Amino acid sequence: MNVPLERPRLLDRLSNQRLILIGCSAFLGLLFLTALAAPWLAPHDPFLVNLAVKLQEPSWTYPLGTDPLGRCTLSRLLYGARVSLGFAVLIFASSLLIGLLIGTLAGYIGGWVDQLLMRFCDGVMAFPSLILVLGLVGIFGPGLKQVIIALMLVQWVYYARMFRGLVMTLKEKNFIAAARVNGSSHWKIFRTHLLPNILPPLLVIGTLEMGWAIMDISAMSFLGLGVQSPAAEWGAMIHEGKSYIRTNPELMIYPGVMIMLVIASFNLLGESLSERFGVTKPPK
Amino acid sequence: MSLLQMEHVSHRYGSQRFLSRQTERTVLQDVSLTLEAGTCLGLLGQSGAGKSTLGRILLGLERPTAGRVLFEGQDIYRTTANDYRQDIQVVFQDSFAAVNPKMTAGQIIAEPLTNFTRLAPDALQHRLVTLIEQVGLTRADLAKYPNQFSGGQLQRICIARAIATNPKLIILDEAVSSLDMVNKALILALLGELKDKYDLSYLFITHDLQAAQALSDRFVILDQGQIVGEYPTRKAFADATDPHVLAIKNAMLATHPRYRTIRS
Repeated sequence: MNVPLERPRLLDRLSNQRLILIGCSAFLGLLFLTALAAPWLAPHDPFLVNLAVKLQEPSWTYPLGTDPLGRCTLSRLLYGARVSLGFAVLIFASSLLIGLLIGTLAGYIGGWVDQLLMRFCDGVMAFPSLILVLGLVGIFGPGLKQVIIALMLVQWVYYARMFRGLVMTLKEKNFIAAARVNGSSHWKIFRTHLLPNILPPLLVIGTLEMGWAIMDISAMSFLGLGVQSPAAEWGAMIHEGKSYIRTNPELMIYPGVMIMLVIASFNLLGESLSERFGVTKPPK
Repeated sequence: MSLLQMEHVSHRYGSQRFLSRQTERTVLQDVSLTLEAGTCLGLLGQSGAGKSTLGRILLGLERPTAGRVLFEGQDIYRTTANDYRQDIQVVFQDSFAAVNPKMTAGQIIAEPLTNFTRLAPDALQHRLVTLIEQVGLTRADLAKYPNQFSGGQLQRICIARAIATNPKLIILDEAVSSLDMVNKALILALLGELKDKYDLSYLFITHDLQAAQALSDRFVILDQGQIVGEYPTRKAFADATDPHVLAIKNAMLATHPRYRTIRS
């Protein structure tokens, strides 16, 4: 029987894991670099108000035009990347550390310690993050710090639950028992036996969570709860451009596209990593 | 003084859950046994008899709910010193679960050495080579990861890890039960060889009568958490007519259907 070899279709080729892995890492890496180098790359001061050049078309001086206050959109986008990515990393790292600590403790010690910590986690999980943010903002006033703290307080629970499960499965394995018999301290067991074995899932979840963190920061800023003007942040930029949606939609489109690209990259990267390591994603 | 003494050890597993009913299960009940230095005690019993729990208690991994465990006269759950840890080592049944998949064979064997001794890097390397060759593998195997070994080879690495710090007692928790016939015989031979060479004592926990008989000098039968038979010599065990022993003996396959024993 002669079956003609079918050319792989575009979608199949796009889902080539290797390509996605390299492409997304390259894009995100480049973005992190530009964010770091924003002061040197940005053509203008992102905060410089110059009403003489407000709402300009793209030109050689203003590659992406200007906003209603005459500020350079490209410069603001570049500086906005610093806020979005930087604080996403901050939220990720801090909630990861809290989650790792609590989850590992609960899973490793077990018993009533586990029960106590997990019931506490259930309590936190039952509390919607938006309400928490609104509450914090209500008390301390709007600002990035409040948003970050609120997101941190909510995010760590997911890490904690995941690490607890992973550690509990590992703890049943005899190599942990063998390590105890071999005289390894609990700290050494955590360092050499538990951590290397929970690293792959950690990487996957971390990548997926980064996308969420960026989305959350932008959403809060868009609602006016997070970053306050004149600071540049993608969500806040969409908020500022909102009034000009009919005349100058690009003011919303540029930051919107950036948010979309970054989150899509993080998600695709997470997906391909999870496939590579054979890790199942936790339900969110 | 015996090397190891268990005195009236009882153990219950209780699952205490926060705000819920407590369920308890007795696993060991008033178990006393002694093990003399340089001997091998075969601990036989069906699955669920409490053999492995007994092993975990002796290893200091599970504090018994009642009774004492004396190692060289010292209660291992009373002393603050961790000295006994170096002297009691273990070989588990499933060698794949007993080693960290992210560590090389060299790192696996080196773990007890780095914890209990202060060897210089080249002395450590030398010791590792000696150990791995002792168990019938080669120097090149030190750099390999567990997934590059077969079950039998991995069990040899576990044995190398167990003898690394010159322990006095090794607990063999079903150490040959998951191996094929050939590997089982080879590992048993290796264990016997090491025992004579280093004057080791074994507690051989198994449900495998043949394997137990190949290595043990004395036999203890455990059933539902209680000792139901003690046989001080091989002969006494071979002649035993106790129903618990017969149950294990009858479970063996006959060499020919004609020689099948009649089950009680």
